[in-house]
Amino acid sequence: IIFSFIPSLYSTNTEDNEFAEFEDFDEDVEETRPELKQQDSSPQTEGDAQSPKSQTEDDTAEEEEAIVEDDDEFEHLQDSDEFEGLDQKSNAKGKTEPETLTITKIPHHLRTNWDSYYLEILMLSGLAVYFLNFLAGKSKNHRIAQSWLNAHKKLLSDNFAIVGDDGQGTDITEPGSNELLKESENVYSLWCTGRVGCEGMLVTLRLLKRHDLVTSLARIFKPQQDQLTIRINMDANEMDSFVLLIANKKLSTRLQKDMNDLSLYSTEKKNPEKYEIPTSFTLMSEIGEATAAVLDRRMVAALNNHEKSISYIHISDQYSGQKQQDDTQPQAVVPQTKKVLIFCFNLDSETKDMNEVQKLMTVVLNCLDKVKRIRLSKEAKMKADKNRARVEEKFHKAAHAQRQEAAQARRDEKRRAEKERIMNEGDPEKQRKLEEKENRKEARKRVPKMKMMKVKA
Amino acid sequence: MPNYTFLAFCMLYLVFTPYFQLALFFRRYPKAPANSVVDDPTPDYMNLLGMVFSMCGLMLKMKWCAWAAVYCAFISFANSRSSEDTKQMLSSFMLSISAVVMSYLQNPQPMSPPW
Repeated sequence: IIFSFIPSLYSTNTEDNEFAEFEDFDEDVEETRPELKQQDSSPQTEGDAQSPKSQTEDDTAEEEEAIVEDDDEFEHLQDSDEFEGLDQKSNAKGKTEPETLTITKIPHHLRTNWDSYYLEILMLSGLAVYFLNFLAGKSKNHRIAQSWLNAHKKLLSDNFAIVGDDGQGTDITEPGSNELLKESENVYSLWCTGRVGCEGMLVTLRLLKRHDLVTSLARIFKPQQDQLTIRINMDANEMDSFVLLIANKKLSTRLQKDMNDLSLYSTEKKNPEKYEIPTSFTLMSEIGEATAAVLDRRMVAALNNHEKSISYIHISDQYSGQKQQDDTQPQAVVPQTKKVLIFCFNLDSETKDMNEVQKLMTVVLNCLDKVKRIRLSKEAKMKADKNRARVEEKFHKAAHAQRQEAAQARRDEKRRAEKERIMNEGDPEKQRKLEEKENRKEARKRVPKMKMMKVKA
Repeated sequence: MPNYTFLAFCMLYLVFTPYFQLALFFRRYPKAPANSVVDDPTPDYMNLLGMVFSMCGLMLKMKWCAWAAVYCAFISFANSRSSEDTKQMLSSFMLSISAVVMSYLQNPQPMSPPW
């Protein structure tokens, strides 16, 4: 405490020593301050004009104090405890940031990188492969059809006056085009006509779809074969009435279900061994006598030799095509029937020689002549006519039932309309009269009809 | 004497010519033979599918739909019957090719597969 007093004493007699000029500096500062102080005290008396000056002095004073306070204010920043959680967050953000960096999508320029278009190239090459396969398959089908035609042209022109009529020509008597009619890339047809007893013969070559890659691949799982279908339309009086089906087992059930005439007529299943034909065939026949006549020595030999190629033989005088798809309504209209012989053969197109296929055609023509010569005996004829009458009866019954249903519906409709009219009648009096009239009419209907008979005594 | 006799002679000659006899048995090629029932539905289905795919390709800008439409048009062309008119074929081709072109004009990015 003694030392602290000494400087204060010393400061009073500082005017004589060497640092006098510094003191002048201190005194100026003190002098300005006392002026300031004197002005502070005097403003009240001189009015406002000077107040802004005094205000600036106050500001400077405050700033000094503020500075003093700021120093205290940021003291806590130095204190490390304040920033306990902050460091980890900032570091964590720092670490994950590059991962979420997403490259904005800007459209590539077309010509810059072709290899990113690998899918498009794949698609185009697929189309090219499909097109090449289309050309190859188309020409192969054409070659097969042409080779079949060349092998059969002579045989057909011997048996038919016109081979290859396409229906366009005006005059029928000119010779046919001798060409196959191309229905689609894999279906060719040939119409031959001009033979005694036979309206015409339609040959349809249904080849595999070699030109379509999709079905070609599907064929790997489900193998198929080229098919030759020959359909002969007989004249009305050239064939007796019987129905017969010789087909391999798998096919016969489907045919039996699909075909109208087969489902109606040929119900008897015969044993193939009895007629010495291979057991892989099923035999459905209506008239046994006709079956025996058709399966003569030549036909049996053909069936044995070409067991693999023959798919089915369908001979029928009541042929009316396939059944209607919707069986909700029993068929009421008697379908238009034709006398046909249908042969379906499987062609093994890998074998180049057409001899076997030619033999099949001779079998068809022989069968045609055979069927023309068949005449049923009296009993067989009666049995056949009875079957046809039964079927016709069935159709008429179905038609009659349909007509009755329609009439009943009309009657119900009329009665409902009558009742509705009575209900809508405004005047109760008229309503009652209408009801009575209705009841009397129904009562009269219910009473059984009786005739009054007068008995003369 | 008008030449009735000559006309009668011609008629008689005609009746006995072989061709005339056979003509009794001629029948024209039946336009819709019964076996057309076993018709092939593939071209019609493929045509319809092609139309649907090209609509999707155009409207929803899906490139793989447009490419599928081109394939469907090709398949329906391959299986088309010769009796079918070519206008239908041409329209399905034009529609599918325009679908592909339009979808690439809108954004030339390579196609992203549907899976």
